[in-house]
Amino acid sequence: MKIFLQLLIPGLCLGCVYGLNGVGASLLYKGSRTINNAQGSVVGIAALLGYTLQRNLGLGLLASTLISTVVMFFFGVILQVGIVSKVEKRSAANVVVATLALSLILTSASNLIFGTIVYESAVITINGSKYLHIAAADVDILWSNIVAIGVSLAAMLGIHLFLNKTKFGAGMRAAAMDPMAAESCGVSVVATRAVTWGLMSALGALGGCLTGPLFGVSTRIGVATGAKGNTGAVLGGYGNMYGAIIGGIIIGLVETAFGYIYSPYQMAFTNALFLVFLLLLPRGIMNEKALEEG
Amino acid sequence: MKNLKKIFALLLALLMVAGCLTACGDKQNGGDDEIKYDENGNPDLSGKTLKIGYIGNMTDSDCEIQQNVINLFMDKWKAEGTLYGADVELIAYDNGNNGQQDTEMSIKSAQKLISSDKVQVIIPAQMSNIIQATGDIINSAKVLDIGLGLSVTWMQQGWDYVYRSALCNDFQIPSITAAMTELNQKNIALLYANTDNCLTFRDSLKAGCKDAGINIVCEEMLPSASTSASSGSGTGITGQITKAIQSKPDAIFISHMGNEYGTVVKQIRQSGFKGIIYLGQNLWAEEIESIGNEEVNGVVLCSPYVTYANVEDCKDPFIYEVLKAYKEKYGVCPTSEMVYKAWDAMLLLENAVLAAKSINSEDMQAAISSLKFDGCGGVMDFTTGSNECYFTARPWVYTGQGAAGGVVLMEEWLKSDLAKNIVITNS
Repeated sequence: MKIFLQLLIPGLCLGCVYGLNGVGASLLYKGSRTINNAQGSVVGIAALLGYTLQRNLGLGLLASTLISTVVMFFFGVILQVGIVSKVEKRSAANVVVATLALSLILTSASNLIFGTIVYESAVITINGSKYLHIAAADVDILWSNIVAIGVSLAAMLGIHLFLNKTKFGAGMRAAAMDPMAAESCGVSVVATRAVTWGLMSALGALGGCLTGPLFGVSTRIGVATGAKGNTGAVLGGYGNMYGAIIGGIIIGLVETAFGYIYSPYQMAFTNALFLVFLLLLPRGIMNEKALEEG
Repeated sequence: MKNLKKIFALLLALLMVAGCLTACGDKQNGGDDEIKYDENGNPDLSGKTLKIGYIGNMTDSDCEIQQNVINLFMDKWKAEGTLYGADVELIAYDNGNNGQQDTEMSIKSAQKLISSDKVQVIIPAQMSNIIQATGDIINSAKVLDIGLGLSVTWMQQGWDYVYRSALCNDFQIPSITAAMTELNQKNIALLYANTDNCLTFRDSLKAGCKDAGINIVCEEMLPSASTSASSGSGTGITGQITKAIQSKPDAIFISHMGNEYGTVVKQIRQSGFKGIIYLGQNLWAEEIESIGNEEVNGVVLCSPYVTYANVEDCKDPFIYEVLKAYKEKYGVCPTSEMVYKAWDAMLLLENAVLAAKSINSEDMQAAISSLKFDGCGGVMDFTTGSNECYFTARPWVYTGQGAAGGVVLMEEWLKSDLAKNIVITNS
């Protein structure tokens, strides 16, 4: 039981962070039939921004995470309005290349500013302790893991409510299904797309800030979470945000389990499982058809 | 008329060949035609240029420090006319690709440095796989190659022109196993990354432990950001760490990439391990901060030198001067051991020129085998013929008391109360 919990909680935590990135990727694909290769860099920059706010302004983890998330939301919006909307006019493939280029620029720039080392992030403590002691299993679980799981799930629920219970969210869904029809009904497709990019960046930023207390903060923190978030999104059914959550969690748990069972093939087994899933369920767990439609 | 044309063509061809040979001979190896010597036999190299090639990731923190050290030495040499008045030029190429060093780009850079820039010496940064990939090209061109990496592999190739200005991983092993034996640690868990450097270090450690009667009770591989685009800073290593701790080792040994040690140590401590953690390399001051002072206590390193957060913290007179000179020029105290490796590389180059009385790479190579001088890690002894210079390490312990982890020698740490907070053995 002790070992099970020691693997389950961190695995679930990682999965939730992958899920956050996956949800963003799915929203984006569903909304504009493209992918954002700069997401990993956005995650890294958000985490470093959070660290800078903690370090220089003395802010706590909560405040720095909130500010980073909001800043990166606007970064996503500006990215869409300033670059993506311009390059996507000719081909959606241009967006893929443009965001890849942007990713390299952002990573190089943040490396130049912050270097390639790992920085300290504020740690989550409750009643002066970093751990939650579960007496029944005699195991200590980091509060940082539990908070990351809770906040990630809350953010995903928030996105669900935003899309389903607000007028703007309904507009976003409509624009994703048929932009022309939505436009004729008064929905601003320009605005919905910009918000979609903003949400994707904000979700990645949230994930980046939540992983800081666990792994430290560096420019590379987003490399894994961005890529694995995408993998989780495909596993769950690319374009389906609920599938992305499930897919992300599966990747996090499987990766942690394989790390325990046979570490030399951790990555190989995790990706082999992903390939098997794709072969058996090409539309992902949620049977999403967005890829075929795209 | 026909014969005249043939003779003319032949003369032209000969002239071109002669021109090429002259150009290559003079520029590539710092040829010493027309060099004047004084009564002591010292040459006047004014007008000649020692070209130093550098290959590294221009946005990497370690590479930044290396280039800073190279520039620091170059400025000093120019100001003092150290190298018999020769001018010095640094030609640096970026081999970085999204934060990682790229082998293909490194090979192209090495070829360009040799054939186009005609450098006499190349410093291919600190990644052993890059040194391995470029070593044959540089060696075949008879250009000096001073590697800063730690893997044993590239020094086993028999390349005459390839040198190391740091302590090879293999030479750390005796002091690591001696420390384990002294602490009566019989069971060790081993965590390693899948890079050439880490794998060879792992194998050498296993052999050393076997000889010392120490058991490896658990061996787990960690994904590394340096080798896998899908691996980030320590994400997804919970399974490996849980298994290592579950094997109830007396200590855990980590063989990982330089700037990823901190994340692994942090997670091992967060997972509740209270014992000694052995590292293959120094931690950056920022990494120590990330781990936390309390948690860094009991982290052991076997090395000729350690890093300091402030120049004033350093008690070693040689290293003190190194840090002081660096801080005076760049305004910060370097907190990576890379400063020592680069410093020693430049010392080797300086001494090679002075001993050879030439900036020709073949002359310098011939002179190195008789060199023995002080460096950051003690005496740099190249007289063994192995192209290595350091052969021993000392065990240091991070105490968490003071800046940069408050590192002290193990014997000192064992006498302190801090050692009581650490579980030395499980038995």
